[in-house]
Formats: sequence, C-alpha cells, structure tokens
Amino acid sequence: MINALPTAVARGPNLSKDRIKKRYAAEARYKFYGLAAISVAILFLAILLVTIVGKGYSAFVQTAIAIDVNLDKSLIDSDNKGDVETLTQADYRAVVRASLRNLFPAGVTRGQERDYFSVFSESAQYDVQKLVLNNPSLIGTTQRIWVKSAPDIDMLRKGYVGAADDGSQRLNLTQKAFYDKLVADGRVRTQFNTTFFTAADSREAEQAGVLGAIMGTFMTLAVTLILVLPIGIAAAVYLEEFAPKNRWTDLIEVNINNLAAVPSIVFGLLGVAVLLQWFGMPRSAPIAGGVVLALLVLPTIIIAGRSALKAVPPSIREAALGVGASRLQTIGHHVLPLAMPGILTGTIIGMAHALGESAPLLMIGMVAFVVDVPTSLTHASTVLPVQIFLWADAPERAFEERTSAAIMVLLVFLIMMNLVAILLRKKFERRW
Amino acid sequence: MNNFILIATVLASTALAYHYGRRRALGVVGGKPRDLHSLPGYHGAYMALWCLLPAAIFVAIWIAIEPTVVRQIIAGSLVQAQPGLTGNALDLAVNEIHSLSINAFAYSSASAEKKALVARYQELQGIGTAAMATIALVLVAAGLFYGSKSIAPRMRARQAVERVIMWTMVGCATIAILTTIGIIMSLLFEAMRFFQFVSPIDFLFGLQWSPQIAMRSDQVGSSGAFGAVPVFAGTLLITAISMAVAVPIGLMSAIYMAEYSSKKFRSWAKPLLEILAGVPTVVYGFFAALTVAPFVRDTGHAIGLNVASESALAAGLVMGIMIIPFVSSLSDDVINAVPQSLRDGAYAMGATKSETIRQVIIPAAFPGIVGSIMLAVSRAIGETMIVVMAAGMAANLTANPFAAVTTVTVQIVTLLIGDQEFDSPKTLAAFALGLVLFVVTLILNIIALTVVRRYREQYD
Amino acid sequence: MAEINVTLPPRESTPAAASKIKLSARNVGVFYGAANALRDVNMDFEENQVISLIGPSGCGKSTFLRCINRMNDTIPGCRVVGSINMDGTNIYSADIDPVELRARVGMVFQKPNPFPKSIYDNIAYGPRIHGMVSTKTEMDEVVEWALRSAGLWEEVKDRLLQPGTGLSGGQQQRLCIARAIAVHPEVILMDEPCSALDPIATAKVEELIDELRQTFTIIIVTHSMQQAARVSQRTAFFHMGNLVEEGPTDVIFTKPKDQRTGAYITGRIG
Repeated sequence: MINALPTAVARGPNLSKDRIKKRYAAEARYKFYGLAAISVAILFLAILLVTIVGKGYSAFVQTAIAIDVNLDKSLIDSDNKGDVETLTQADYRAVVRASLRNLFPAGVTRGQERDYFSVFSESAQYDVQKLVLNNPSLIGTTQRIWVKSAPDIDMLRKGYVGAADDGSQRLNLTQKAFYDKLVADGRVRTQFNTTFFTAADSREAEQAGVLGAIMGTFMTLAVTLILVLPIGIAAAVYLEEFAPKNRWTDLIEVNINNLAAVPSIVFGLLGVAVLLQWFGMPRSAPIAGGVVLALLVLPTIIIAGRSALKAVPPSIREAALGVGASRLQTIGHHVLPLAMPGILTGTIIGMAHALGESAPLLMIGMVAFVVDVPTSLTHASTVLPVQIFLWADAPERAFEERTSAAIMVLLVFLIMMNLVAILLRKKFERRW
Repeated sequence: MNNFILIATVLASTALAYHYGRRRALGVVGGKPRDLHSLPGYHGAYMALWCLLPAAIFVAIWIAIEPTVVRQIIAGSLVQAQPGLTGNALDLAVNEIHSLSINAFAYSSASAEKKALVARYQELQGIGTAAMATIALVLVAAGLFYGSKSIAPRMRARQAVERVIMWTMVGCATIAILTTIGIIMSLLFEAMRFFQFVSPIDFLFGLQWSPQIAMRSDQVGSSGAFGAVPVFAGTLLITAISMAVAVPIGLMSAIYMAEYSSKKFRSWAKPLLEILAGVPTVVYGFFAALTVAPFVRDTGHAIGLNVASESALAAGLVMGIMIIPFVSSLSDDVINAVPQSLRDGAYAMGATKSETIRQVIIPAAFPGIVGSIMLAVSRAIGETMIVVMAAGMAANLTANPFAAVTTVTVQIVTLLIGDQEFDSPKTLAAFALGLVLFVVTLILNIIALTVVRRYREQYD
Repeated sequence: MAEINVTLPPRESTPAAASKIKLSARNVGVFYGAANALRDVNMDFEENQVISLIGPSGCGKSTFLRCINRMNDTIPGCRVVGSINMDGTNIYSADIDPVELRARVGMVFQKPNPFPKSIYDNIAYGPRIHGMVSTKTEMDEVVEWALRSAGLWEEVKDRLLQPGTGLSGGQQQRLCIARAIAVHPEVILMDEPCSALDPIATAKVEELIDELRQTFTIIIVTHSMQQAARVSQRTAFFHMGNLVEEGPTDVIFTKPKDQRTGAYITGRIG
C-alpha cells in the first residue's frame, strides 16, 4: 500500500518549455556534429582529389618545338654504307646540334651555346635517329620535326616557373628570350604527351613514362592472381564446407583474421628473409613481388570467399546430397558456382588492394630505377605505386606534375576494378 | 628450355592419361557407364593424377635439393685447390662460380682454373637436369602403368580423386598458418642475430637512435646507437595525432549514418567515405609531403610557431584522414548491431534521439567501439608510406607535434632500402623493429577482434 | 520432344502380390553430441506402400527419416546407432557409400529447393552424376519421363530451359519430386513436402504420392493428420524420441493402442 507519493513523483516530469527547448537544442547540436564530421571527411577527399588532378592534368600535354634538321650525309653516313648499323651508330647529337645552331640568334658564342641547347630535350637525337632508320632516303634533305622541349621550358609554358638571372630560377632571361622568339616564329606548340604512356622511367622528366611501371604492375599482379585465386578458393571451401570444428580449425580461423590485419610492411620483411634469402628469388622482380602480395591478400580473399559460400542456402546442399551427389560434387556443381560472383568480387577488391600496395615491395627492392620496360617475371622492374613514390622524391617541378599524373593513372585503374566489382555484385546479386 | 620440354611432356601425358582413363573405364564395362562405380571422368582424373603427382612431387624435391648438392661438390673441389678456404670465404667463392656460369661477360675475363670450375659446375648442373628429367619420365610411365591396371568397374575412382582434392584443399588452408609461422620465424631469427650485436635491453630502452653511425667499422653496434625509444615515441606521437583526427570524425560520422541519416544520404555518403579507404597510401604520402606539410609549416610560421617541414602534425593529420573510414565503418556495424529494442525502450520513456545515443546506444556499443578503435590504432602504427614520405628520418625524442619525428616503419624502410648486408646490425635492426611492430599490432588485433566478436555474440 | 515410351531397367522383383519388407530398422538411435534425439526404433517398411511418420515437433520423426538415406552424416556431431537394413544389407555398414545409397533412396525436402538452374538441368543432374545415360536423347527421355511421372510435363514442356526457381511453389515441389524420381530410386523420403504449399498444390502433390506408390516405397513425415490419413497405408507415431506405435493407418487413427497416440490425434498433445 502506498499512502503518499514521493515528492519527486508528485512533482512529475519537468516539461517546462525552457528545459524541452534546451534538450532539443542539444539534439540539434549533436546532429550537426555528425553531419559536420561526414562533411569534413568528404571535404578531405575532395581536397585530395582536386589537388592531385590540379597538379597532374598538365602532365598529359607537353611542349614541343619545331626544328629543321639538316640530315647531313657527311655526319650520318659519310662512307655511303647505308647499312642499319652505320645508320644506328651515327652521331645524331651532332646532327641535331648543327641544326639547332641555325635557330640561335646571331653572335652566340660557344660559351653561350649551352644555355640555348638546354632549351631542347636531349631526346631530339633519338627522334632524328628514328626518322632516318624508318626512311634512309631522307638523308641529305632537311626535315622539319617536332622535338620535345626541355622540362624547364615546359614548366615555363605551363606557367609553373618564371625566369631570372639571379639564380632563383632554373631558367635565365637569355633562355626566356630565346623561347619567346621561338614562340613568335610559330615553332612552339603543346602536344599530347605520348611519351608518358610509352616510356619507362628516366632521369629526364620529359622522357619519363609510366609504361614500365604499368607492365611491372601487370606482371606482379598476374603472379598474385594466379596464386591467390585457386589457393584462396580451395582454402575458403575447405574451411567453410569441410573443416571439422576443432581447435586446429579455430586456430586457422583466428590466424587468418589476424593475418588480414598485420601491417603490410611485415610481409615485406617476410619477403626479404624468406623469398630473397632462403629461396634465392631475384630481387626487384615481379615474381617475388607477386608472391609477397599474394600472401598479403590471401587472408582477405579467404574471408570474402567464406562469406560468399556461407550465403548459399543449405537447402541447395541438401538437394544435391539428396539425389546422391558426393559432398565434393555438391560443392563443385552447385555451391561454388553460386558463390563464384561473391568470391570474384572479393578477389577483385583484394587485387585492387594489392595494386595500391607499395611498402612491402619497397622492401624486396622493387624501388629499382628501371629504364627498360620489363619483359619477364625475373627482370628488375617497378610497379605503379612505387614509381609514384620514386618520382615524389625527385626535386624537379616537372616530376611533381608527373607524379600526380601517375597517381591519376593508378586511380583510374582502381576505379575500373572497383566498378567491375560493383557491376558483378549488382548483376549476380541474389536474394534467397 | 629443357625444363620447359619436360613440363610440356608431363602435362601432355597427363592430358592423354585422362582421356585414356576415361576410355578404358568405358571399355571395361562395354560402354555402359551405369555399370561403373564412378563416372568415367573420375577414372580419367584418377589416371591423370597417377601420371602427374609422383613426377611433380619428385621434381619439386629435386629442385629444392639439387643446387645444394652441386654447391657442395664445387665447394669440395675448391677446398682441394685451396685447403684454407672455409666459412664465408668458401660461400663467396662458390657464389662467384655460380655468377660466372650465368654471366658470359664476366666469364670471358675469368682465370683458367675458374673457367674449369665453371665448366665442372655447368656439367654437374647438366647431369642433374638430365637425371631429373629421366627419373620424372620414368615416374610418369610407372604412374600410367599402375593407374591403368587399377581401372575396374568397382574401382572407387571418385573417392580416390576426391581424397586428393581434399588434401590439396587442406594444404591451401594451411598456407595461411605457414605464412604466420614464416613471419614469426624470419623476424625472430634475424632479430636474434641483431641481438648478438646489441643487447635487447639497450634496444628497447636506449634513448639514442642513429643506426648510420654504426656503419663505421671503428664503431660497433653496442655504442648505444640502437636505442629505439625515440623511434617508438615518434610512432606513438604520430599515431596519437592521427587518432585525434580519425576517432571523433569517424565516430560521429558512424553515429550520424547509423542513427540520423536517410537511406538515400547513407547510400552515397558511405561509399564516398569508403573511397578514402581505397586510395593507395602512397597517394596520401604524396599529398602529405607536397601539400599538407608545406601548408602546416607556412601556417605555423604565419602565427609565429617554429614548425619543421616534416612535422609529425602533417603526417599524423593525413594518416588520420586515411583512418577515418576504418573507424566509421567498423563503428557503424557495431552501432547497427545494438538491438532496436534498446532504442525503443529509451524513446518510449521520452528520451530524445541524442540522449538515446549518448546514454543507451554508445554505452551498449562501447566494447565494440573500443575494439574498432584498437584496430584503427594497429593500422596507424603499421602504416608505412605516409610516414616514409612525410615524416622525418632523424630520431628526436619529443612530444612536440611541430617537430620532426621518425617511426618504426620509416626506420625499417630506410634500413632495408639500398644495399642489404645480412651481417651488419644496421640491416638486422630492421628485423628487430619489425618484430616489435608485429608483436604490438598482433596483440592489438587479437584483443580487438576478441572484443568485437564477444560483443557481436552478445546481441546475436 | 516426340511422344515417347520410356523404359528404365525394370525392377528385379514385381511386388503387389506378396508384400515384401523393403527396409527394416533395428534399435536405431540418434545422438546430437550428448543429446539423444531418437531411441531404440524398431520398424519395418513394406514395398510399394506409403508410410507416414507423425508426431509433435521435435519428436524425432524427421531425424529418423534422415537416417534412412544417411543425410544425418552431413551434420557435424551427429551419431547414429543401431542398423537399418535395406533388402537385407545394413546401410550403415562400413562398405556402403552414402552416395550410392542416396541414389537408391531419394529425398524431397520441406521447402521446395530446386537448383537455381533450368528445369531440364534440375532433372538431368542426378542421372548425369550417376552415369545413367550416355546420349543426349536418352537424357531427354529421362527428363520427360520424370516430369510426366511427377505430373509436371504438360505445365513445363515449353519452358524446360527456364530456371526452376521461376515456377510456383507447388510446381517447384513437384519439380523436386521429379528430380528425385529421375535417378529411379527404390525409396523416396519426403520431409513434410506440403508444409510450404497452398491447399490446391497440396492436393496435387498428395495425388502424385498415391500414383508414385506403384513404383516406389514412400516414407513421408507430415504434420497434418488428414494428410497422413489420406495418403498412407501405414502410420507410425513418434513422441519425444520414441516410436510409440506403428500400424495400418486406419487402425492408428481409429483404435490406437497407446493413449498418447490417441491424445495426439485428437489434438490434446502436440
């Protein structure tokens, strides 16, 4: 029996306008904090992307200068042999220099020539060489060809740097004046930077490209995929469908989950100690990099594979067992095909992760400076993210631009892979 | 090339064995598969396995052993020629023969005795390869013979084939374990060698870190230059800064998305946040080094602070951005796992949404949130590229976020990039640091995963 | 597909005249870990009859059904004791392959579970893995025969290549029955085959069960007393892991010996 209400109860809840208003204000503030947090995160993403694109888009074009090359027979093939070796070995540097001198203002002394020559890329001689080798009959004629400018001129044209005589800029006023004259003569244009997509790394920014890194990436990821797909699927199937529940499988399970969270650099150390030292795999090679990345993404793929298998309803298994299929037939004929889209989606996401990974590859020496496009799994090569790391370290302004452009290429690959994964998921999504 | 022919031959025989097995199985029952215990395909696969497996296993073992044997023989001849040769010097000499055998240019300028040894080396290799190929082919033939003899209507070919597949799958599942063992063994082994130069006490508690000094021959590792405390402190500083960014932003984002946002908002905000997690870390590193660090430095200068151009703040800030999605997506899951009934209970008493979140949902989800933050910490400690590109190399023992500090991962990369000499403490120090990194992250992960799992089970 | 007469290997024994014991269970018990789900079941099944297993939920009737084609083998921690003889051979003896056994003892499940493949492939799967056919024509014949036997042919003959999951619930269940028939088993187990179906579909399936009795021995677990009464010749009542009583259906339903049976049938327990 309650005779009298406690005073607090008798007073009832405090529903005064003020208090309610305060509570709602707190509510609104809290909601605002949440929205602000998301906005900040997305703002960071936007800044990141805008910075990269803003810095990198200009690397896809390049300044070119028209020069009239006199393919002087006495310099190229004075003995009139005409064979490929002579034409290959000829001193095209001299040919180019002789032609460039014609462009210089009158009265340039030998000492001043250096400034003028350095307006042009050293690659001009290779362009001329290619021209001659493709068509030896041109020897003796004068040809107008477009050669790449030096990166400093490219930067000047793109407005990133200026020119000064006090040493604060890489270009001096003489070079600037010469460049202005070339522009006035209509000898300067901006062209698509094909070199960026057809060359490997180079010390000279205007001759550097990402093809070498892309090929290295492809070979490395090919090794990874070939290893990780069968092993990952087999392990996932065993653990999800066959493994008895005991301490051993518990251990494997805990181990896989933990392995997925081990820092990637530790896999690099594993690669150095086991793959390079014990197994004597070649340093810097896609085969070693591929194996390291395979070990790195294997746990992710096993986990994805298991959840895809788990999503296949048990009634399918019972149906197959009921008509007398063996357990392996049940898995092979019914469960695995149904889980395959999920497994593949997980694999693509894992491969995208591997594509962006660089730390373990630094460890096993894929930071090599490689000027050739790699052609085999044991050749020294680098991969796109490591190429980005290498270029980011280079002091020249022209490399900064190319680093951003290489990042854009990398991001395009990542976006494509993720799109494929999303489409795959959408197409085969199945509700049971 | 010879190996290629061998592999092609074995594979071709395997394919043939498959077809032969099928046809023979059908043959023994007069073309009526119903009378076979197993489908003809299984008989084919059974034959193919007998053809392939013994040879493949043999070749794998042979390839693993052969180089050692050949090296032993060459080492024997070397010792005969130069009785004093032992240990490392002997190893080096054998290595030289090996590199001469594959480098025609170096070979042309080698001495006559060496050329003879190279010839012997190549001869041994040739014998080895020929022997391997012969034995492998004999095994293929024997396997074929045995396989075809055992084909009979009641033969349980399916069971046999399935058993092989089963063991293959067990092997694949074990690879994950082997990886862990490989990591632990290699880190322990190399770290032990490091601790022969530097005592573990000095390493773990020393205050001076300058591994480059130890490269000079007159100054051995025990000079105290391998005290890792400044490195650990730098790691903690950068991790703390990144957590100060990631935890509030990530957690509030998760709360907003789980409790406030409309389905539509969530459907585009969540993927956007996940993009942050998908951006390669090298991109963040570039962003940190070229955009954020100069910005932080200039802002600092403008307000009169002395900020290093490789400040811990810049690296930590960018790392924090990278980690936001980890915190947010894990917390989001955790918050969503809180049963609706708890929310309903709070709303029914007249609590506002934010009161419900703060007083009911977060306390209920607390263990899970702690677990997800621990996972994020573990990721921050192990993150490499951002700090390699944006943090410093010099080990300063400081808590000042505007100073340059270095981290464990930076040191591992710096110590291992370039020439690796596996007997210098400089290189080996990387493995000791790696061991510490592995142990710390492993402990964090195990605790976090256990906490999160317990939490899930609680509401399942 | 032309009108065809399908001839599968005829049964070795032609029954009907003298009823023959197809299956006999002796002292069958099932343990899930330490829990004893079924105790000491002794029961005989005659050929070409429909036998109902009835009883309240959790009484062990489904567990017992799954013993007969060793589906319990697929559940970790499940142990079966005792023996079940089929044509005189213990199906639990070591040299019996559960896969072969399941080809002889087919099963239809509670919820229709067609494979997410075409109707044709659903039927063809069993014959294919058991190596029953060697040509496409033979397979076509088997598929048509199985679908006709399940009374589904007229409804699906024009869309054999469409997914089986697109059929209605009742059609799906008849497809599953056709799939079980296609391997021409000797016994068909049905685990509450109509529990997910509407009354009209149920009636069709019940009709089908009665027809199939000519060729197969059918053991059916059901929750519906009426269904047991309608389709089965014999009925067994299970309660709390025990076989309480077994006998001709009309006897069980009218003059049960055990009072628990009577209580269940009249709705007092269960």
